[in-house]
Amino acid sequence: MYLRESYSRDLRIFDEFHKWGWLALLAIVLVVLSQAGGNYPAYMLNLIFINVIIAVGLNLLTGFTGLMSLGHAAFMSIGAYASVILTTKLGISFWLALPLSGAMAGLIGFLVGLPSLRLTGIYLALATMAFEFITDEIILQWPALTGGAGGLSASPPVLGKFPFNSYQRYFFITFTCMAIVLFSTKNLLRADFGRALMAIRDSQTAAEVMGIHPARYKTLSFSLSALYTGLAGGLYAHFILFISPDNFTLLHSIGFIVMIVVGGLGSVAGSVMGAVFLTILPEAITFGKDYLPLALRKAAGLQAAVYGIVLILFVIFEPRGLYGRWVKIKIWWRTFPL
Amino acid sequence: MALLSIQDLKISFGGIRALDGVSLEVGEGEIFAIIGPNGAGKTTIFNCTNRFYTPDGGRITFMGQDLLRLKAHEVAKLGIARTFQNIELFVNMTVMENILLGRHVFMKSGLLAQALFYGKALREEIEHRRKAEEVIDFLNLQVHRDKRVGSLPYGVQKLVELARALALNPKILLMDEVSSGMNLEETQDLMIWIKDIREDLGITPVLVEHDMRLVMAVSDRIAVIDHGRKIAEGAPAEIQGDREVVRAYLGDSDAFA
Repeated sequence: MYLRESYSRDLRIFDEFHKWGWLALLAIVLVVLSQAGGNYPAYMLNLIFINVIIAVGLNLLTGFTGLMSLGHAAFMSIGAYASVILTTKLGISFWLALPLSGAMAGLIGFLVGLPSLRLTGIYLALATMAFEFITDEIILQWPALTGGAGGLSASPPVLGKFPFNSYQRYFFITFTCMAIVLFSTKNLLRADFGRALMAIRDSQTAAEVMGIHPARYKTLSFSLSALYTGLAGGLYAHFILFISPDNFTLLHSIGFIVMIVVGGLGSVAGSVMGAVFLTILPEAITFGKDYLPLALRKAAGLQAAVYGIVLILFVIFEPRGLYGRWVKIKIWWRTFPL
Repeated sequence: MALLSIQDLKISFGGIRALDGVSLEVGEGEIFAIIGPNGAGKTTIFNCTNRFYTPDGGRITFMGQDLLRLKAHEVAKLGIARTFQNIELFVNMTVMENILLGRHVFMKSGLLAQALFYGKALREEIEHRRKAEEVIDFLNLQVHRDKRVGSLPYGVQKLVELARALALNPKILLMDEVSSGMNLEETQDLMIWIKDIREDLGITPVLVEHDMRLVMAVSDRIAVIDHGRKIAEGAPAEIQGDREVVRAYLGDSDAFA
């Protein structure tokens, strides 16, 4: 237990300083794991970090602002295609193309956010789903720019003479981006901006009476969420080095929602947990498949079915997600002998 | 000059005339109460002032400024705060965060500064916390500071709503049935606070109230609304003796004859 003596202490991300130490230790473990653990862990870590960025972005919109989106795979594809087109067709450096692809997705996110001023709930979900299909169709129908169904190849980013051409090396890019996204999101959420978003989520009427401009904050939230997701798309494209419309489908959008529901709506830590869980789950399904009866093993849509079951179980038994469970476990230990 | 001036306010919902030419003048520093039977249109007056509704006719001016030209979120900046009949709090946030939202209009730091939580953003955050603490002290909410609002009892939630409105540093405070759901003791405290809000904070309280003991004890002036019309206005003693008012609340005396 500690006592807070000043407001600046009250405002800290971690109440006690030594918790930063644990975070640093975790970072070191991740670096060692990625560099010394072989290709597979490095591959998985990259994928996890990219998904964490998306989950944080989507949670900002859905968990914190209360707006639903089934179009986040489209924002991801916009970021991915923008970054690849900028680097391969226009010869722009990856380091400039990556933020630009995020900005591009952010701008489109702003436009998609405009209907959200009038639509909420299921209607907004449908509108964003339409956006998803439209984006998909544009990519398919514009092969000159996007390669159509055939997809596009990307080349690994190079810094000076150092190419990031392995999972191990690319780890540092995704890790840095994730750290920046996590830190800035955490900050925004403990400042006025985050409070304004949550205010709109909890009561738009009261938010307006407090002088919060709902249209401004809703579109900003949409923009920022799309920006993060576009950034993740750019990172993803230069990680797997080949993109096609199959990488950004409605099932992916649904997967992102499962991530934040499983992790915990309205929680940054929950977004991270959900992203880790949902990145590992398909791998676990692949491994576990061999032990299933033959008929199930071959069944199409096995992954989607498992997503569905996980989502239902979480909504019923732990609506606050993995993060909520984590908080309960912490309280249980603190009060242990009771 | 009147602080808040409402002239000939008219609004209909479908075929129902909710307000049929109501005029009110609230002077600076007076405790003004609006009373009337259920459905008389009291809250509708507040909702027009807050710009949730756009009236069909009439004018609303605040310190000479035309409120009807503004949008709902622009009203707060002028110094108009409001509490709601059925509590409109941010239930998933703490008491402190709710009160800090009352400081939203004063927060000027940009998105980038907030993302870094450095410089102006950090200074503002600390500065406004100080103001929030003052409000918490004023309403004795210290023990609840870091609790989630949704978990608090009804009476305390009402106070948090009041605290959030006070954090806005308003010139006028529109209170829609603050005393509803409060027990006798809490209502007693409220009576003192309403007076303190005027005397110590220099805020003009406007009440919509059903608790007549409270209204008669604190108000300087009372307007009585019935079926969208103002039927009486005056000091508490005048209102109590007004035949029209008695008729509106209790029905025609002829009916009993």
